[in-house]
Amino acid sequence: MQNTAKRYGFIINQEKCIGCYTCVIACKMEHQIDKGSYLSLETEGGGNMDTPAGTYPGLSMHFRPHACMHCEKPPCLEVCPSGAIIKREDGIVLIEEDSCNGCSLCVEACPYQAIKLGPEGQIAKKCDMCVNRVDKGLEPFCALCCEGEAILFGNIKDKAGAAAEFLARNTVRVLKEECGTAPAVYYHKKAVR
Amino acid sequence: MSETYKDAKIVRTACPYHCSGNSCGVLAHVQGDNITKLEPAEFPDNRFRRVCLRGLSSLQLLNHPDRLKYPLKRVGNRGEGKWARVTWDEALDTIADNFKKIQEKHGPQAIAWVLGGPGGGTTKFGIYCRFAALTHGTRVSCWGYGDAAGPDAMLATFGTHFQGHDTRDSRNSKICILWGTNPAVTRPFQMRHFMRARESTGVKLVAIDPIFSHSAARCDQYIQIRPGTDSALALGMMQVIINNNLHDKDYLTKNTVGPLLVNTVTGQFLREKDLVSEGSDKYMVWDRVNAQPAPQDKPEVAPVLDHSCTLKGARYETAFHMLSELAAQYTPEKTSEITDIPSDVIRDLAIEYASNRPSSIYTNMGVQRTYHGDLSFRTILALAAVCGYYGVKGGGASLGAGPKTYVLNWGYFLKPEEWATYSRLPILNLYEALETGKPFPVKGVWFAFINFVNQSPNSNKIIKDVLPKADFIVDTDLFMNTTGQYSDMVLPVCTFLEHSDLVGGPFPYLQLQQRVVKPRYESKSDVNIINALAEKMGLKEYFHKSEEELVETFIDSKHPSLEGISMDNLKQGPYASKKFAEPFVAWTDQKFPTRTGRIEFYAEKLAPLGEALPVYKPPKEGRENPLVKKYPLVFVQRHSNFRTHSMYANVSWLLELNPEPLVEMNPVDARTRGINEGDMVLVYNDRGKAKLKARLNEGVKAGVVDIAQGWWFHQFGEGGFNCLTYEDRNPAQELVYEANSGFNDVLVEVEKVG
Repeated sequence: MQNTAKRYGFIINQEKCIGCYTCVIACKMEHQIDKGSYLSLETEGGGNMDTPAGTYPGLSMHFRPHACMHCEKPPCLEVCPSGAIIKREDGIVLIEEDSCNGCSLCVEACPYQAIKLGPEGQIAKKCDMCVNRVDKGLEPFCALCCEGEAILFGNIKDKAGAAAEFLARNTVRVLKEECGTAPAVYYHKKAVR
Repeated sequence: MSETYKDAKIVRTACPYHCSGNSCGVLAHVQGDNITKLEPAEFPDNRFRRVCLRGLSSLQLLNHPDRLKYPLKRVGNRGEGKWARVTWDEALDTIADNFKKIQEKHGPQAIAWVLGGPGGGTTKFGIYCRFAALTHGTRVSCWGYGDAAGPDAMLATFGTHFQGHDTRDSRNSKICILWGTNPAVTRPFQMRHFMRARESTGVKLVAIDPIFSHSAARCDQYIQIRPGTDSALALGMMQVIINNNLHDKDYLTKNTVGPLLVNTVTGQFLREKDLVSEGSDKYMVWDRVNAQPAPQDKPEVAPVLDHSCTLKGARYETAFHMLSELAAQYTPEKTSEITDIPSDVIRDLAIEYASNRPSSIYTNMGVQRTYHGDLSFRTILALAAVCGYYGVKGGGASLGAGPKTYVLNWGYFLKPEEWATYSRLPILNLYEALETGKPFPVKGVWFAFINFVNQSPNSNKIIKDVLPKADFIVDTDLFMNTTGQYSDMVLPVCTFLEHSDLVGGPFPYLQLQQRVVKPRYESKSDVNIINALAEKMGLKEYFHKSEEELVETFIDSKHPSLEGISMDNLKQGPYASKKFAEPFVAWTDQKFPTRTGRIEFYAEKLAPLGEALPVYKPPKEGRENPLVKKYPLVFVQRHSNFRTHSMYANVSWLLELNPEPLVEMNPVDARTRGINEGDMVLVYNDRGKAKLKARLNEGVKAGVVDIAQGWWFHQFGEGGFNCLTYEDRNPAQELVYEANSGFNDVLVEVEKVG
């Protein structure tokens, strides 16, 4: 149970996400991933990528950047038999690759399908909130590159910070709230017109 | 200045790739001679600090296994795909020999320099102009393969090709109409400005588009329109506005040709000399005070905006009278029949746009890629004039990236010597020049930053009838693509990471594209290719400047807009004139560079073609065309988020997300054809075909199908998207400036194949 003054998280403003997929590519760039990405971009609309729900004039389409939720209660950490998954005081959940034996229990346990086994050596991999950048006082690379300025990164516990301010002024939701994982990623979307 | 600049292993440059003048700043992380990472570079205003998925994927262009490594000379027949490696010396000697022979036999203008889209790059474009001028060659202007109709409309109406509002000004609008444009995909910078504007001042964003695009999805209102009927909508809006007395009569009288008298038979403006011998060329208005015609520039005259009269036996009407009579025909009901937009939506949009002052329109090339695309934009421009929205903050009807304000030293490139001039040929006229030698024969072709066969209309005709008539064809590219296959010599060029250039944008900045690593393999920048070719053709004395020296030449215009600019400070970061700290608004002085000095919504030059007024003419290939019985669907070709035209089509990071061509169609049209999601289909008409998978998309208007342009032909099962289009030239556009390709004005049928 964390009880510190810092909890890093993301607010995704789906009213500004233009569905450009830059975040997906940015993640590949930052982590030198040849195939795949720790981040996926889901279309909230029609059944297919980049298509809307409804029929004209009642069309709607939003996009949802989707990665590790850096949960308060990470199911991955709970099932990991090697103790390879840790949660830092600032909330960031990390997989320590040297300790991972590729058993993939975490892959199955994650309700967000945020973890995948990497192509070489079968190590579990996921979004690490660009911890190397964060530790230098920089924002995660997806947030930096986001064309729509839709990814807001910050310390949710800092009342004076932009993240807390946004949460105070807007309605947000978390994904799969019923799983009780308490994600650190919040999504904002206005009610569909 | 951030910490990163002190580290010598990080180089600041700019990605110039063609996002309508919005080039992103890029920091390249270098280790040895390799680039390990690209990231967005800082700007004084950090809202500009972004780079998109394409810019980031540029590392994959740099390191692509299929990159052209050395010059290739064709062996075997064109299209056979047989090549021999040659040295640069041999390649350039061969080109020089062939070009000399052609020039001796057919004249110097028989060599055509086909300059496609340099994006934001200036020296790479300029060097070709200089070479063409010094060799009296022909510079082929590539506005016409999709981008000419907007500038045509601007030239006819405002006397200049490009001008408009800085998109940051949209915060001052009450309503912003994104008319036939999809900035979320084609100009993310601009989309960001719109969304910021909405957050700060609550501006309402309205999207008008045949397809519910990524931009439309973020707007407050989406209006679905039949392709090519935008003039009708604009006229319909004018009808409502004038009927409700919401038009700006004062503005129309002072700043437009509204009050000028027009001869209803000749369609020409009345001039003083038409009434009195020894009279001047001055345009005439009807003076209310003295109840007689008077020159328009006399301050004591009170022009009547809406007037008709008979003078010397001829009937005259004011241009505004004619415009309002034209608009009067476009009642909401009639407009609805044409555009498929409900009449109450038209009425409400018109009233909102005119009463919430000021409101603005932003548009770009998509809406203008129909046969009458120039009329589409002329009518939109007239609509904004009717409301008096020019020269005011929060107003305008602006094209693309907006303002043109920096004055660079183009003289060095366009007119290097008094005697040095090139002939000019629009791209759509190149077809005829090659095929039949009209207006003059072209026998040698050099393609620069263009994938001509892939991206120009009627690819089958190009391959069968046009290119075979050329004696020698040179293609310069990063890859062997659709155009290279039909060339005689293919030369490897560099990515932006391997050469320096001066890059315009994002407004209000100018940036230095600074070489990060050495050119790979034997690739060369366009500047260095031309410098080397010049030596072969006896022009070495004119082509000795390096890339950076050319940048210095460009910025040395001594124009006040570039005050304080220098190579040194460009190396540190982007340049912006202090004048543009506030969003730029065009024509605040209400002085327009037209012959009348006024906004010319009425263009007398086009009277012989019945287009002096911004009329509505139906799409060339739409439901009014009997061809619709055979080919009932309208084919449009939007831009892909995963490419910049045909660039990046072979990049694995992007292909992972977007693996293959798709034809997007409304489920209603798919159902009647027995087509399910993912079925292989053939899209075809009399000109050609394309075989690809179907995607069902409720956002596509019923009756319309869309294939995102830029896929290379080999990525289709058969054919290609531009096998379906035509190269016909609109004479009205030619009269103004240059004919445009009606890419979005094509009829096709779609059927399921095995």
